[in-house]
Formats: sequence, structure tokens, C-alpha cells
Amino acid sequence: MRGTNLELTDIMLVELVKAGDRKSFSELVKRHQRGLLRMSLRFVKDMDTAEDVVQDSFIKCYEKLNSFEGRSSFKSWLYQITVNTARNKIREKRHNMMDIDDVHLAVGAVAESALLGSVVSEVLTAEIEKLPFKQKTALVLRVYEDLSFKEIAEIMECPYDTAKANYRHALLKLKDVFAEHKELQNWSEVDGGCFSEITHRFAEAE
Amino acid sequence: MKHLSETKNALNSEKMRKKLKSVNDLNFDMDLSDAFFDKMHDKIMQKVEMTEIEAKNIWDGPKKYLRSHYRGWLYCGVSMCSILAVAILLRLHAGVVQPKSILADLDSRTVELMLAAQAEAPEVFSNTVLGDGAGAQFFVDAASDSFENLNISQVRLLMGE
Repeated sequence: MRGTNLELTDIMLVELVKAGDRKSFSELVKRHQRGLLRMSLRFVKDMDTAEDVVQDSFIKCYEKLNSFEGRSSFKSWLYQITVNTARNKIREKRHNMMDIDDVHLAVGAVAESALLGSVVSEVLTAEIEKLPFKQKTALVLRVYEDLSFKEIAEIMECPYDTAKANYRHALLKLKDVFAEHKELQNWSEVDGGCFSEITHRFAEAE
Repeated sequence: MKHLSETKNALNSEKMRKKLKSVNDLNFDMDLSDAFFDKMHDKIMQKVEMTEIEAKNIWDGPKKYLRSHYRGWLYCGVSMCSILAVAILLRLHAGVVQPKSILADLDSRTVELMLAAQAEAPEVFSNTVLGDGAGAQFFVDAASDSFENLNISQVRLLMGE
């Protein structure tokens, strides 16, 4: 069964699960858990919480499988559930903690530092963190998950142009950040002119 | 020329996207072993075993469609309805006829005389000068008016002193 599952598309596997074959869901989990964990980590900045988000998302996905009609790809639908779950977790955390912002930034900075050890990365991460949720979602999905605007629109449950506009606004804010931070300017000049590329990118989006 | 510029921009955009990604990527694939993901997979499947797929809700489709395509219109519609409701309430409120004070039609001398008569013989005054319903209304109006228009002697008379 496992050998044949590898050849099946997500939609085919979903149909099998709907027909009562729970084992097929295992293949869907294997296919998407890495991507979902990576994306969740971008939002919640904490591995334990990210794991919870992924688990909850798969359970919700399984429960609501009958609602999936195949108009969008299964991946988009699953990512949509995960983004919403991550957002709820963030709200929950904010509600539970007295001063979430301080703790959040500190944890994020340490985690990023350990992973990358780069000033540029830290500044960039902090600035991305400040973006409104929709803009951040569009940016994360486009830049780090390599998704198309069509997929991003499906995940964010918004029209194509809105997804693009959110991405554009995120880039515009990052452009301002690049202009403000000396270390980012230096980095952009040395490593291929990222600052000017953002300017070009913004011009293109307009 | 325009086409060339667009192509150049697109290339720059792609370059920039890759740059952002390379600088800020979470390469946890290297840090997390297959065993980690196997464990997570098993946990998920364990929970899935205890979960049932819910029956399809017929409202899910339209709700999702409205939310994704007409969210902006939905907000506008709700705002317009709220404004309309407030306008209707204000209109209704303005249209309500305020009960007219009995004292408004009487000059101050008449009021004084009536209050004096009431103080001297309240029962006679109620039964003769005032009708059934107007009696209570007269005292309510006089009381509400007392703090604004009546002088001290009129208030004392009203209080039966």
C-alpha cells in the first residue's frame, strides 16, 4: 500500500481517506509535515508551539476533510488551515502572557542568532516580525515557501490582487528598513545590491 | 524597450527573493533528524486514529465563497446597514411627541392661585379644579418645574408647608 501511495496525487489520497482509508492520511502527513513545520516556525518562533500548530492543523484537516472540494490544491487548503491555526496560537499566547512582545523578541533573537549568527538576519527577522499578519503571511509564503500569488490568495482567502498588494506593502516596508539600517545597506551593496533590487521589485509590483 | 525593462525587473525580483531567502532561511531540515519527523508523524496519526471525519456542512461552501470574494463588500454592507439603523432610530426618536406640560398653558398668577388652593384644601382642589388623570400630571409637572422656575414660596406651597 505504501509503495502505491507514493505514486498517488494528494487529491487521490484525500479521496481514499474520505472513503475510509486512514492509512492514506499518513502519506499526506509525511509529504507536508516538513513544509508546515518550517512555515509555522516562521510565525510562532518556538519549536514546541510550531509542532503543536502542525499537529492541530493536521487534525483539523482530517476532521474537515469533507469540506475540501478540490477547487484549490490540497496543499493550499492545508496551508490555509495552518496559517489560521498559527494566528490563533499567537493570539492565545498574547492573551496568556503579560508582556508577550519582550519575551517574543528575545526568544526570536536568540533562536535566529543560534541558527544563522548573522546581524543582517536578526535585523531582517525583527523587521519581518513587525509586519502586519497579512503582509507577513504573503511575504513568508512567497519568499520562503516559493508559492505563487494564486496559491497565496487561496491560502489567505482573498483575491489575487489583494495577496499581491499585501506582498507589495511588505516589500515597501522592508525597503524603508533597508534605508534606515546601515548594516543592511552595507550588506546590500556588497552582496549584489539587494536594496536596489527591492526598489526594482516594488516598481514592478506597482 | 518596455519589455526589456520588465524582464530586467523580473530577474531582479527573483534575485532579491532568493537573496532574502538565503539570508533568512531556517535550515532546520539539517538540524532535525528523520527520527524527529517520524515521531511527529506517529503522534499525528495516533490522534487521527481517535478522530472522525465530520459530516459536510452545507453552509461551508457559500460562507467560504463570501468570505474570500466579497469580504470588502460585506464590511461595506454591514457599515451601511448600521448607519441606516441608527438613522431610523434617530428619526423615530425625533418623531415621538413629547407630552406637553400642563403648566405651559397657564400663566404664573394662575399657577400660584392653584397651588395656594391645593395647599389650603387638597381634597377639594383635586376633586373640583382637576380632572381624574390631570391631577397626577399637574403635580408631576409642578414638581419638575419647581427646581427651575418656581420661587421658594411657590415650592413651599407645593410641599404643603
